[in-house]
Amino acid sequence: MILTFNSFFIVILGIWMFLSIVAQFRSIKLINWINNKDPFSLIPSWTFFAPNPGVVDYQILYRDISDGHYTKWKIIFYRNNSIFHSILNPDKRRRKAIRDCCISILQIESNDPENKAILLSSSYIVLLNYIMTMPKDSLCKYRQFSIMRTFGYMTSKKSEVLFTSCFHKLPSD
Amino acid sequence: MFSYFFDINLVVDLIQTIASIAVIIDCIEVLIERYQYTSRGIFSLEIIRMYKKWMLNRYLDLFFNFLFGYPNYILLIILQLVIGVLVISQIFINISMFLILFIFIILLLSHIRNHLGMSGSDQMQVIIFAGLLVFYLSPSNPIVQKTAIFFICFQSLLSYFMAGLAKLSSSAWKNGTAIKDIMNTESFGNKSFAKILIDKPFISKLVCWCVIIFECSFPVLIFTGLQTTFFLIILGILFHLSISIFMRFNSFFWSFIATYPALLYISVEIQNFIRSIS
Repeated sequence: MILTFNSFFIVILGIWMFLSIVAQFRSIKLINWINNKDPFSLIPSWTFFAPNPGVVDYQILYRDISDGHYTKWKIIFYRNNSIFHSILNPDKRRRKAIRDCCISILQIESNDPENKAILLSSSYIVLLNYIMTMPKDSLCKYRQFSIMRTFGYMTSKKSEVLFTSCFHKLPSD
Repeated sequence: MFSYFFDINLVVDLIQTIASIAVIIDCIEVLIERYQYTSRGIFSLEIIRMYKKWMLNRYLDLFFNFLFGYPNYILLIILQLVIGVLVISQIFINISMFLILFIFIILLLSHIRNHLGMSGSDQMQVIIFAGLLVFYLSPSNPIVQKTAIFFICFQSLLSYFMAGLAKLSSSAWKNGTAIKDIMNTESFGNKSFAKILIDKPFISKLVCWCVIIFECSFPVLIFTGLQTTFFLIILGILFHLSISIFMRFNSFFWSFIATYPALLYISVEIQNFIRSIS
């Protein structure tokens, strides 16, 4: 019984290691299937900023319709980058989640700009829910958001607005 | 100097202590950002569950809603934080297996709940705690225990090697622009360092190639002896420290450093094996 128990562990770890090797080759269809069935993200894919490193930033902006007029665009802020964040970086998950949502929305849009199904995509709904809970004044009735691509600290390139949502009705207080 | 790494129990102590630091840091960060886990945050359960298959099952949906709702999920994170502290303090050394099991389960649950926002550091934590759990589940079987340590070592080597290979196939990394461009972003970069790299492109190219060579050679050098492995580990610590400082990937430092005792242990085992057959 104990022998079976121990063999079981060795087999499990062996399978895990085998799948981890196979998972590095994303072109294999089986891996996409396994990743879709892997809610715990047990099978890793290690690339770390390769082959195409993320070299742009995505900013989220939003504006309202207040008393029949557009308000100014406001930007979603994070804590200022500091050396302290090398020890504790509370923003990192929110920042990554927003970035992933932006990339996903932009991918869907670039594949089919006319496809209204984007409004029902998880990335869109997650961002929309987040944006709709940002502070508002009592006269604001509708809100929209934009995804802007910026090119870092030192650049001559101008920022680009890549996506603008339709207006959504703000919940009443 | 290396005798410490001949004792598998001491190696496991070191792995679980460092990995627990990673867990504690992540817990503190979730607690600071707890608002994001309410219905008004980016990790709102009400939104997440709309796209989860579990909601199709009434009982599973009820269970996960209870577990992952606010503030219950935050209580789960506090529990994980406390267990992490207990693992490091070694107060309840007799029940280490249960403490590791709890951390492992909470890590898995967090992966289900917050698929968005998870990173390679979280995946490495799951791998480490899975290995530790198998180690504790087979207290009387040295083969299984060594397999568990080998598993952690293997995943660490695989991560470096595959990351190195991916960079080797990338023109941005080979021509030396990747580091400069990454450092220039607000999301991952550092303004002062970016300025240096932009002003002196040869430094950017040098850093890119150092990273590629370091990552690709990682799994090869572990077979060449203890001194080489130790040197490699010092480089690894400096590598992750610089990533932590410049890119603010703080958890990566602890998650990956936690695998290093396993690397040293396996290196010792390889040397013993070579000696025994020669």
